[in-house]
Amino acid sequence: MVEISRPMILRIGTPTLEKDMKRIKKLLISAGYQEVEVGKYAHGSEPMLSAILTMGELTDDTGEVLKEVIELILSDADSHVNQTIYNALATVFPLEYDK
Amino acid sequence: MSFLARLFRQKKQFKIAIIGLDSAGKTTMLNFLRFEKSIETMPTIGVNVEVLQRKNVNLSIFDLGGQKHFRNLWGTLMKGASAIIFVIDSSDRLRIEEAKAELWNVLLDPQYPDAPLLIVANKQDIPGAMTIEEIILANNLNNLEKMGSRSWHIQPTVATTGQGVEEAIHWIVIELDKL
Repeated sequence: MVEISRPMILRIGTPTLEKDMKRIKKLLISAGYQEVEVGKYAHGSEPMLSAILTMGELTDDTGEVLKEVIELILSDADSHVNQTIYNALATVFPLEYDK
Repeated sequence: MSFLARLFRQKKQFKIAIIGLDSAGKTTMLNFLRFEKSIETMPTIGVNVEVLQRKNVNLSIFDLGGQKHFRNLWGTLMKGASAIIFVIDSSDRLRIEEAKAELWNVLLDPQYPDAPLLIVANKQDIPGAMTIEEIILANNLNNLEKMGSRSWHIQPTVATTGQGVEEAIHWIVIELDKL
């Protein structure tokens, strides 16, 4: 059984949110996650692992929405499965942002 | 516009990692750069990725959580960074040694032998905050042998008001534009 140590929240505010949302979905699937409900994922072989992928909002202190961001919450920051996601994110997201 | 014209107008793209101990002001700084105002922040439980455009440079900024148990992920998430921003809470004299240890862990990482280093001496508005000279000494930044050919700069800031924040990123942009 995988011990859950802590969650990990990735907030991604690129100019190409739709494209990047698709990229992250692909990353999750290739790491073995399966979408069980809209935006909710469970891992196929690691039952303790789950993920939530949604659009979030950054707001200021008055509640005004400043921008939309992609929000990916992983249940276990330390899992080796998620390390592959970090690796991919670290190298994919600094690339071009052409729409 | 022709292909060649578009090619020559293309902006340079770089990845920058913002690191530092928890509560140093990394996300506050990033928010000020993005929105030109201060936004109340919660501790970063992971990473924030933002894209900034300055002059002819696109910056993918990776703001990495500074809590102790997230620091082991810095190496993975910093991969490919062209420059490093290390934010220091100038008022936190108790943890300056801890900050120094984390800074040098990154500086001695062979993945970033020459990446420009920007030290952000944040929270300069707090009474008793360390001066720039104190921070340089405490972090051994004047050790020429260890710093090698790396270009570095220290910028005093107050991220909550934006003081010094744009100057900080300006230095990074100039350094990256040389690459």
